[in-house]
Amino acid sequence: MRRIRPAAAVIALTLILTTAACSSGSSGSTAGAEAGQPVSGGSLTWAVETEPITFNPHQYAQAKARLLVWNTFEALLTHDSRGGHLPWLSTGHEVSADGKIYTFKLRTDVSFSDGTKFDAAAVKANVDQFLVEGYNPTVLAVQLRNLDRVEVVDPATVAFHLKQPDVLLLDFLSSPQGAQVSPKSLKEAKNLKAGGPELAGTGPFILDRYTAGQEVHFTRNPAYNWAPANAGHTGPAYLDEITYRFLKESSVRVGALTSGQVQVIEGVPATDEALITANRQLSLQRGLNSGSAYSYYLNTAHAPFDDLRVRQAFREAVDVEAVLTGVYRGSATRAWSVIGPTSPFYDSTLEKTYSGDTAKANRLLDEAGWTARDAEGFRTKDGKRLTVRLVQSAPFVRDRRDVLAQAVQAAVKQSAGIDLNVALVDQGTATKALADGEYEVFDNSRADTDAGAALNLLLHSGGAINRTGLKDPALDKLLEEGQASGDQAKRLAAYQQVQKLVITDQALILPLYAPADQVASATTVGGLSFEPTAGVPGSAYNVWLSK
Amino acid sequence: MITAIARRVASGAIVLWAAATAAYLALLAAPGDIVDAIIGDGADTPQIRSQIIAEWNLDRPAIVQYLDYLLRAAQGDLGRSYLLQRPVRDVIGEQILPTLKLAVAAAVFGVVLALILAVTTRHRWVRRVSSTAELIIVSTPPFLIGIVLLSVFSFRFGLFPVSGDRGWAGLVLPAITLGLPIAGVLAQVLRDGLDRALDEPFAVTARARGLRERAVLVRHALRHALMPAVTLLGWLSGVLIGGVVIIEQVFGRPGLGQVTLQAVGNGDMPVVLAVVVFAAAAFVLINTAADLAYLLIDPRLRRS
Amino acid sequence: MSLALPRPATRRLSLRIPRPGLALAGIVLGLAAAAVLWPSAFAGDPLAADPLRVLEGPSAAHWFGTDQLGRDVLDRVVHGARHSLSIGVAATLIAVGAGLLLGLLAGLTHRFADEALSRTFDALSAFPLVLLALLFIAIAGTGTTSLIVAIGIATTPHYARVVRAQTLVVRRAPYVTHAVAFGASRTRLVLRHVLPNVLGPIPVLAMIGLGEAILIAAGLSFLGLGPQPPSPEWGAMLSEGRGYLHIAWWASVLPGCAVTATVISLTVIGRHLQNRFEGRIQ
Repeated sequence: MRRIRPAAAVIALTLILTTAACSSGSSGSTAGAEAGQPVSGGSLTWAVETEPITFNPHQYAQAKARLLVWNTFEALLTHDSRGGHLPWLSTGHEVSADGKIYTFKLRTDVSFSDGTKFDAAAVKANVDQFLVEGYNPTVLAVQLRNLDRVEVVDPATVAFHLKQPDVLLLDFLSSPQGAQVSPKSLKEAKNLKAGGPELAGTGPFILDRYTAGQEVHFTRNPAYNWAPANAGHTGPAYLDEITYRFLKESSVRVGALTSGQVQVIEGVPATDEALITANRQLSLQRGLNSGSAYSYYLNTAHAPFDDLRVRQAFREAVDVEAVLTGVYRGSATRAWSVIGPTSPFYDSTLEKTYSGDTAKANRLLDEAGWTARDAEGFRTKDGKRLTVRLVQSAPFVRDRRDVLAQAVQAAVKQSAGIDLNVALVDQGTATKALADGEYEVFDNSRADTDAGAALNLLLHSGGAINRTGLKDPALDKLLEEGQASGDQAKRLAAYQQVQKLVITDQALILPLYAPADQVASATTVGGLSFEPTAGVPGSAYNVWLSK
Repeated sequence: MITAIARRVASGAIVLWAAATAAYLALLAAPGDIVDAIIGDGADTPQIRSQIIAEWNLDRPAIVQYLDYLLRAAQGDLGRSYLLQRPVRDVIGEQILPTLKLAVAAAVFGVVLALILAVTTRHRWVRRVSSTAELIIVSTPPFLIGIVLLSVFSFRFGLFPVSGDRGWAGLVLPAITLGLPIAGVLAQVLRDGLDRALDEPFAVTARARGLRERAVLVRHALRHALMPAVTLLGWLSGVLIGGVVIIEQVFGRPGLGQVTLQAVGNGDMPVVLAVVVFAAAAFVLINTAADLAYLLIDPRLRRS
Repeated sequence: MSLALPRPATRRLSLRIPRPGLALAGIVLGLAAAAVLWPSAFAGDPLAADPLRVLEGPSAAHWFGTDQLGRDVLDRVVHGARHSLSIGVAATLIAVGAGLLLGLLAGLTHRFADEALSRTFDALSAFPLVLLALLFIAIAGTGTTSLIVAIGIATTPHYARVVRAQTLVVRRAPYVTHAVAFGASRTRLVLRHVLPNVLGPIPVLAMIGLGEAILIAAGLSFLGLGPQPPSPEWGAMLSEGRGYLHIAWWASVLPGCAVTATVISLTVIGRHLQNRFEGRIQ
């Protein structure tokens, strides 16, 4: 998830609709054929790209930090591989006929790592924590918008009373923000919002040491015995301890892996994949993320992208295939729609319907009046250069998207004389540029578990990150249909129309690639997997180290 | 003597005050209002705003704000980072040790290497080769040296950890990278000092007493050559403090450099200001200490 | 990262540079100057990308190889001279200008102001330049202009110190005391007598300082605080190429060599001139 401030991330997860048949393409594949049978014990070092800005799951904001959350914390529900929910800290739930009361039966054998018993009062304490002013106003305003109160029916039963029906509650209760933190920690932690060792959870590992800028260390929770049904095994985790080191530089992560200094890395640049696959001591896995494709959203609010022909021309000017080959060495999955290809709502009929036709791009620009050329070879109209600006926020660039932007920049210049101005700036500058409308291209991908949630944010006229400036009532209506209906076929129909509208009719979006996570590891490591539905690397519960 | 000491200490205090004031003025000069500057990219809620106003006395007259800021700074209260949601003092305190380790290791490596180079490369050709190498080192961006060392010795041969603060082995490459340019400069200064010292009458006398050249060099000339080098202590501390920002980045080491860079990137002004004031304090401390030590060593200075 | 020699040391050094070295340095500077003035005469488009020829090693077609976007590294290094050197020159000009002004002010005013100013110069001139520049960038934001001003401000105290010292010498020189005796006005005195004589050592100092400014610029640029891609600025190229060092060393090492060669040449020629004129100046 890039360019996502905590607020936006929280909004995103909120809007997720939960539908049983919403399958995800993430494989949940498991490596470790060479690592043999699972064995207990050992200590693993895993280099990750992103250092979490917080270890408090209630404050969760970074998709890349998700794999750490579930080591320590658990939620009432978890996702299955088809987008539905499975009980985790609960044993089952019932919904009242009017859809306003959700009653959860809780497991009675669960304790937090600080010894506190997990019960209905703990669940209530966690939800009530959001009522504390300034704790996480966004979750309160969005995800818990319809929550009236939490009732402790008995120690093993908790009821959520809603002001009006809201199926999003289930998604909240399976998200990191809905994870259960020990009520004792909530009360006593000195630095509650930052989280860390003083926050106890129920998970298979205990976070016992965090060195900012360096690493975070977990030890096995020996008492753990409440894994969800799809976890792969039961009882305590295999590893005695695991250290996640924060290595921002991809070349450094790869170097650390190839020289044996870490056993697992996350985030492998395409240029380095060959180094891994050529090495028989190492293996590589990829998981496609759920959510939206990494795309360029064109700002229709002002010139030049207020002209459909210029938008179409921009898209035709990029040979996406060639650009992806250059930057990602053929390892990236090309995207053709705003929705990622793993989503059940993906419209495959859009494939090969546009892009890469240089002649058409130039014809369209000529028609649109951008006929003159300046000294540098850029097209001009009335003495004004055909410049479009892309503002990237440096702290959130992943997958070498800055390099990709430069490749697109070179492509549109060479093929059609378009000046794509790419600025890699700090977060504050980026936020300001977006707020002031000082951009023509906005880049984004979202790792929502349900693509519909991403579309609501990106395309709805009231969406928090609608950067295209398009306010189309017909589009809004389609999005609302997709969100409201529990009928999968209806949702599919609505979202296919949405895609046709924004991709084919409006040429609003240039989809580039389907975001993916890569995990490379020494072959002695087994049990690495991707989280069902989300498609991001999973927790370390199943991971083992062969002796 | 007392006056001389007092003078040095007072001027150190003045520099500190100037640094704190400059940092404060910088905050005022930042675009947007002062609350915006302090929030940076952090969460912006009315509650946080009122907290900032209270903490920085923004509802009081400017002079009160300023004096209170100085008072707090003098007490070691460097404010609170609203982005990290923590007191800045904790942020710095947590990161100071790895930076200190790196700086000390680099300084020791640099000084020792410089001494060895200056003393052993007296022969004409060796000297020329060494001088050229020093010039190249001093003129090369240190991060380039760093990434090449990293690539060769860590990625290729796996001799040292790639990154992070992992025991002494992890300190080797960063310390060499940071220490090499120091050695390059110091070796030149020392060699030059040796040249001069060897022409001085005392060296001639020593030789006349039948001392061998090497003995003259090490026992007599080196001590004289070291004197001007000691005045470079201030410069050295400056190089170290500035250098760690880049070296920590190259080697992914934790430390003040990383903290600073992050703060600059995120517009976390309280941290940036605190780092500047803190660096100034460290800098003043080293220099004042060096000055005072110098007073003790060289009696001639006491009168000036 | 103030890696060029500290001032007091520079003045004391008597490095004898062999003739071939000088000649080589001259050639490098000549090439750099040519690249700054007419880059297109020597190199093709630094932005022309070829996604199908990415990270290819040095060859007859691409002497310095290609980078991560399939751009010719040599073309970029040649065009980069203009970006990198102009940043250094602009920053040095700012520093020299401000240094002259402040140095003269300190040298010509009375005790208290002089003491305050020169103490500040002393402190700032050894204070880490990178930190000063970072402070400025934190306030003014990133970008080329901001980078230039930051380095300019950070290196000002060096020049101010020298100018002040020089002013004090000139002030006591016989011709100045004579002019005062003949009743020359203060402005006239400064402009006609003091300034020209103070200027003497500045060009050579600025030449060595330019090397230092280029190094700092490369460092800040490496940290992502300088010119933005696709600008072929040397520091930026180094920074961009860094992630590919283990598979394509040429994309970062060769621009790095350009920086090193330029800085060495500036230092060598600067010191040579300094040695030659030392007697005359002081």
